[in-house]
This record gives sequence, structure tokens and C-alpha cells, in this order.
Amino acid sequence: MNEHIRFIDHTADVGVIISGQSLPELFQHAARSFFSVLTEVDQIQGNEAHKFSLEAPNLEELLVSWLNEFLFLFETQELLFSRFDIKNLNPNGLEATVWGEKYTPEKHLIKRIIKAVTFHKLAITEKNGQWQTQIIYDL
Amino acid sequence: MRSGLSRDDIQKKIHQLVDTLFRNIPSGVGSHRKDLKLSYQELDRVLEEGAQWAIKQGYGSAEDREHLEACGCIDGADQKMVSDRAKERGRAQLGTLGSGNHFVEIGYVEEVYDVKAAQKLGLEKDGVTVLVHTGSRGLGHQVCDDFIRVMLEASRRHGIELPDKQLCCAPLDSPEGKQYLAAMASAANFAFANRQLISHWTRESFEQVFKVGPKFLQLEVVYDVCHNIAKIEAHDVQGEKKKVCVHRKGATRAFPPGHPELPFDYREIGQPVLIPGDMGRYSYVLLGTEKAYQETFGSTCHGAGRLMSRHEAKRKAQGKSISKELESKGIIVRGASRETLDEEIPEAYKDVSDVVQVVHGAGISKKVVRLKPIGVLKG
Repeated sequence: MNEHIRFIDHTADVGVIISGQSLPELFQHAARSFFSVLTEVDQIQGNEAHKFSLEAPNLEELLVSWLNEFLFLFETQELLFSRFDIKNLNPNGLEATVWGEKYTPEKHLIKRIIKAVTFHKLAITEKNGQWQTQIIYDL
Repeated sequence: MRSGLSRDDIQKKIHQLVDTLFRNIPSGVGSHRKDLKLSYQELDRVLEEGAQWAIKQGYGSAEDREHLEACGCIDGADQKMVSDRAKERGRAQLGTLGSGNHFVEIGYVEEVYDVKAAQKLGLEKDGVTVLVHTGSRGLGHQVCDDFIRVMLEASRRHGIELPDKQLCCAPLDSPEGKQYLAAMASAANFAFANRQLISHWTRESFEQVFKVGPKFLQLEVVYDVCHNIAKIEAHDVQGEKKKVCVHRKGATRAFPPGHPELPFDYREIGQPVLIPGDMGRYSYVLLGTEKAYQETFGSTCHGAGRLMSRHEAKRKAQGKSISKELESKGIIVRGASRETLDEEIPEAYKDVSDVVQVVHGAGISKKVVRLKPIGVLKG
């Protein structure tokens, strides 16, 4: 874990406060927080590249779509990621190349399964070039 | 489910039984039954037919149907309202338990509060029971994700101010509202089918362990009811009969005796309500009441509810072997990761008897029996 990802107590779910020096960094740390809830991120090797682009009406919805993409890729293809390159990030979309590998039971410990990424209490703020957001994962 | 077995019949075989459940019912990441391969066309049928699809495929019997809410198929489902992404997530997950608080629990009737009602439900002291708790899995969550986007847009368009984005909404009679109800009903049907499959494999597990047929085991469905669902129902609102949408979140249905939606053999006593507790203590079977119909739109609580956050529970569990601790209390647990077990420790939940006492005392459901777990398969 790093100083950009801070877990907070939430009765039924898991909450996390993310910070970053830029928007792409905020999104990268958010993705790392997703995989930290799921497994040990250090155990995920970035062998395989995977590309996708997303569109959304605003930044908050884009962030949730971004994290939901990982939930979808994990559930349907059992893919885990640890490296995230984001291009052309703006409130209406992004293009990403992410690196990871397929889940292997012998190698990756699944700590918990995330059921959904929620909009609960979600807000993205910026102060003096420092970006912050809070995400509640439904477990 | 109830059974013709007693606590003494299974005590010696409980390890074997839980291991067999673990083998037969997929619960970990990516695990699914090799004998259940679902085409997209078949999945569409699951979404529109629910448990009835499963019964037609040979998973369970026609008698099961009578004891499922809405006969295991919610009206108004339309698979076309479910996105391809949701179907993709759901296809491999039909017939899997899921994670977190989902489980299959073998127990026995520890205490009977209402002998007559218990008899009607086929429950007697020391009789073995099975509780299955699972739902629509990733498919349901994807339906939610898909419609949150639609609803956020609809909320903006309808000028609805939201205190929290997760509460986005649209009028029920709007196109978005109608589409959502059809998608939600499809997800509920997926959940009915899922529980039907898991119940079937539970029966098979018992048959394999005891080497007897279904007639001897008499594992019969007592009731199957949805949690966390919105339904269009007729209720008295300020003296007037009205069609309303009842959203039961953290709640379940508790219809009174005489309600036409109840199975014929339960009309006299009311709808069975199943309230799971934590895996170390107990669960309850209650019945719906007239008071619930009048005061809470025929609803009651659906579980114990958490007392501790997952983080707190983990801290509390540190250094302890939860499975060994439970085993010393006569409860065998299998399937879950260490992390899940820690987060699901009994102390993390409210004592469900306190919760049940409240709903019983308030008269919105009444106690019939208390169940004690002896074997748990955790997702």
C-alpha cells in the first residue's frame, strides 16, 4: 500500500480515500486500491497488455466506469492488473493500456470479492493541484 | 429446506457432508460446474423463466415450485433489458454461491416456538434443515451498474436533486423506470434459478453421503423468498387500496395468513420468513402477519446486520483460527478464504435473536423455530 491509498472503516463495505498529484495519477491509485481489496497487488505481474477506452458524461461517472471495467474483466476473464497507463483523460473519457495477468489460484490470494463499485459519497475534488476522492466498494 | 433426518443421523457425517457440498457447489473465483454450460439463448430463458427453467432441466421437482415466492418466476421479466455485459458476467456464474455473506448452512431445529405452525412447515425439534443464501451474482450487479448510468441521466432530466448519486432514480412509469423493472425481474429470476440449482446439488450431496434416495431424505423446500427487491403490490394506503412499488432493501416480504400469493398449504399460517444469523449462533424461521401488512407493507427484517466493520472484525479475529473455534462449538466451516472467515466472525454481527425479538415484539412477524448451524459452506 502507499500513502495515496487510505482505507477507511465502513460497516458493511470497504471505503478508500485516494489522492494524487494529477487526475491520471488519481485514477491509477484508484485502480490499485481496487486490486488491493481483491488481492496482493505486488503478486500481480504486468506481463499482458490490455487496451480499452471509456466514455462518460462526467469525471465521477468516468471513475466508476474505470473501476467497473476491472470488475468486469476480473469476473469474465479472471484478469488482474497492476500497471495502468492512461492517455487523453478528460471528464468525458479516457484511453488506457493496463498490464496484468490471469488469476492463478496458486499464486494469487483472493482476499475478498468486490460485488460493485458504488457512487455512494463519491466526489472528486482538487485543491492546489492535489486531487482526492473517496470510493466505497460493495463487498 | 427441511428433511426427514434428525440431528443424530448427521452428526457423525457432518465433515463428509460439508466436504461434499464444497465439491458439488462452486464457491471460489472462476469455479463452476463442468456439467452446466449455458448458451446465451439458454441464459435468456433463465432470465425469463427463473426457477421454472431449472426445474424443467431436471434440477428439482414440480413440488418445489409451489414453495417459491411467485413460483420462482417474477412477472414482467424481459431479457432484452439485460445488457450483454450483464449476461456475460452471469453466464459463468449461474449455479455458483458467491462471496461474502453468501452460504449454504446445514443445521437443525433447536427450539420450537409455535408447534402448530412448525408442523405445517414440516419442521420439528432436532429435524435437519438447510438454508441457502445467494442471489443474482454478478449479473444483478451489472444490471445495477448499467441502470445507475441510465438513472443518473434520468435524474438530471427530471430535475431530481440527489443527496447521494447512488440514490439516482426515475419515475416508475417512465421508459427508464419500466425498463429497469423488467431488468430487475430478470435478475431476480436468475437468482431463483441459482438457488434452485444449489438446492438440487445440496440434495445430491446428501444422497451421496448417506447413500440413500430422495424419498428417504425428504429434503423439501420450505420456502424461497427474495431479499432486496422492489415489487408492484396492492396495499391499503390511508384507507384506499392502491398499487404501489414496495422496495425491500435490507428487508424481506412477510405476507399475512390468507394472502392470495401464498402457497395453498401455507394460507392458514402466513408466509414463512427466513432470517439467517451469523455462522456461529443461530437462524430463525418466522411467519408474516396481518400487522406487517398494515404497518410495513408486508415486510420485515432479512438478517442480523453487521455490528463491526470488516476491518474491525479482522482485527478482532487476528491470531485466532476462526474455523477451529467454530469447530470446537460443533460447527464445521468450509470454502471461504481466511480473509472472508475473519470478516464474517460471529461477533461481527448483531445477535440475530435481538433483531428477531424486535420484529416479533412489534408483531410484524412471529417466531416459529430457531435453527442451529452445524455445517457451513461459505462463499
